[in-house]
Amino acid sequence: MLADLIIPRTETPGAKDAKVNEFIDFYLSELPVDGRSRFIQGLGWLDGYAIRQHGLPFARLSSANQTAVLTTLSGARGNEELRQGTEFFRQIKQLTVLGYYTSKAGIDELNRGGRVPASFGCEHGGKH
Amino acid sequence: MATTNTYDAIVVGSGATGGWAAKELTEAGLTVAVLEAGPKITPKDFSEHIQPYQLKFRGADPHILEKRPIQGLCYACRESNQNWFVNDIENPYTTPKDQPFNWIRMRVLGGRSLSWGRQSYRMGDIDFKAASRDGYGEDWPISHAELKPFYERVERYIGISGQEENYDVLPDSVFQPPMAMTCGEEVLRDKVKAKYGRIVTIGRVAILTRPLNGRQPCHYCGPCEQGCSTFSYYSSPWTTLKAAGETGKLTLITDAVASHVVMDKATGKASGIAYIDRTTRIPREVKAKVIVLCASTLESTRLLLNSATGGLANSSGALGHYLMDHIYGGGASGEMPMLRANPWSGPPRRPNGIYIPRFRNVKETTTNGFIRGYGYQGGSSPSFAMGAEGFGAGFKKAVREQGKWTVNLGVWGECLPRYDNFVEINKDQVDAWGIPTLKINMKWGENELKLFEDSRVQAAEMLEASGVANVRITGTPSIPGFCIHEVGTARMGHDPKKSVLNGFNQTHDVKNLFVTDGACYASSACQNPTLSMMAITVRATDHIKERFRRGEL
Repeated sequence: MLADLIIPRTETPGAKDAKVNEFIDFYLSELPVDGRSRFIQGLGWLDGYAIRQHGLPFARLSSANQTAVLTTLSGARGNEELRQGTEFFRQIKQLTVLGYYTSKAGIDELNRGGRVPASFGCEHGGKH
Repeated sequence: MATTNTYDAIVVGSGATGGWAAKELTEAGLTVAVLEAGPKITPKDFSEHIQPYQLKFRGADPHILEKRPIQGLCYACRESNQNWFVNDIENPYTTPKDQPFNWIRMRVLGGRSLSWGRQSYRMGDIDFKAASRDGYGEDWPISHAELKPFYERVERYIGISGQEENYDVLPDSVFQPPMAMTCGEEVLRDKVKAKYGRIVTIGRVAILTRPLNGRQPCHYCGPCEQGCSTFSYYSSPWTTLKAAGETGKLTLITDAVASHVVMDKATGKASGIAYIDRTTRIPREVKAKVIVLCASTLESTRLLLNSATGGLANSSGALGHYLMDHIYGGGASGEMPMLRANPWSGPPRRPNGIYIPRFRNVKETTTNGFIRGYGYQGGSSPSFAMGAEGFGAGFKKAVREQGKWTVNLGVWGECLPRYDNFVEINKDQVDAWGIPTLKINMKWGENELKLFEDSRVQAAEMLEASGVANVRITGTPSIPGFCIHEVGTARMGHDPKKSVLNGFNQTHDVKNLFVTDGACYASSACQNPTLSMMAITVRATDHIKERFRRGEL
């Protein structure tokens, strides 16, 4: 769910469509124990914060409140009180970006729309 | 100890230079044994066409550093090819506490030619005769004119794509057609030419753009370091070693971890190589009339140091000393707002960048307190905004649509040969095969650091002069070794009191013992060294063939 909030389905598939949640679960299971525990404590912090702010754990919040919480965390650099939450957000975002943009759906999303790779050289006769 | 056959020649190492030594000697009719410390591989072991989503960890293996805490730092050591790189636990070495050295090694048939950077530049007389120009160090015992026919032979056989520039500082090779520059690179080339008169050229790479000897041109799939099923870049197993095999004169001995050169006390000549079978640990020996070390700079020197008290062929005392690497890790980068960015992910991807040859100390000998010079490698292409802020549909859109044309230049700087940068044998540490290991003592000197600073400022100025926005000076000096251009430690020279090898890579002390890999370097220049190592190897083998024919070895 968190992954899908970070990269949702739009006109193209989102993180969940690309099974990024499964990749993140697998990847976390392979991390050294401190990486895993940091993630789990981050999840706990997120629920604690959601309860303090909105009275319910994160998964049960309205979509508007979920967005509000993530907006706070994504923009709260340097706020010591929210440090654990911002670090958690950075970790889950990093994993989501890794999982999504290395998936078939993610690569297709990037390359759609008649783009031409730059690899074969300038096609403008050097006029820039 | 089991002794096997006697050969005309043994080549230790199957990489870029070992492949050439094997090809040249077998084609001249010599029987040759090539020893390789690692296993055989076949094209089935290539992984360049595996898509990221087919990889368990999507290319971000969190376990890679467990067995390879040093190798895993290298960009080329990846999830799918990490086994080509040495296991650092089995292959230890030491350094002084405050002087790290990143030694990147591959033990596998083909060695580092499987995953090398493929950038191929000749050295010029400004490099070979650098000491005469500025008074520092020793000249090489060879000139560009002497090496030129051998450069040409190598270039014609392996295929180098690139653009002629008629610039003596960086002599042109025999080229296949160049790869194309991107829009951003053309902008940079034209502005830098107009404002500074400096050259920006497409990278010269050992990658085919035309078919050659049954090898196909590059199809731009991207990750060359994972192998190439069309054999479009030079790697020894499918070019030089293959040719050697076709002569019927080659014996390939893989999983053979060479430990020392065996000497014949009666004749004062080398009689063979002792090695340990990598998998069974059984010690063996092969015998030959000529020994050619192509084991890589530090492995060849380690072999010599382990072959006699005080080091074999070391009457000069120079063995192990004058270790060099290119200083890199910094430059400048920025964005090109004049270009509309429509970035692309994955293949097709040109496996090459641009090159700016040395312009410092070309007419003069000193600039801003340093001698010698540097070149840049870099490139310009549109990138996705992967670091976009926020999340949700807005983030997803931003990643795709707020990409920028980026440009970067990175320095590759010359390193002066200094006696104080040296390797020695550890008395109290061995590797997994019981072979004493190296202690590597290396740090940058004042000249490298001054040159590095100048190069970063010059890179930023050239970008600014090209209309690049948000120009940033980047990086810090690399950890020595990490450019993987380690050279020196058994240098060539005319004077047997100051050098280990003569002008034909023959040790001054043992007439049938040769070292033709990067250990032979008398100065580092600033160009990527592999092309020159190969040309030097071919020149040395020409000499070996002639001396062998006359029975003089």
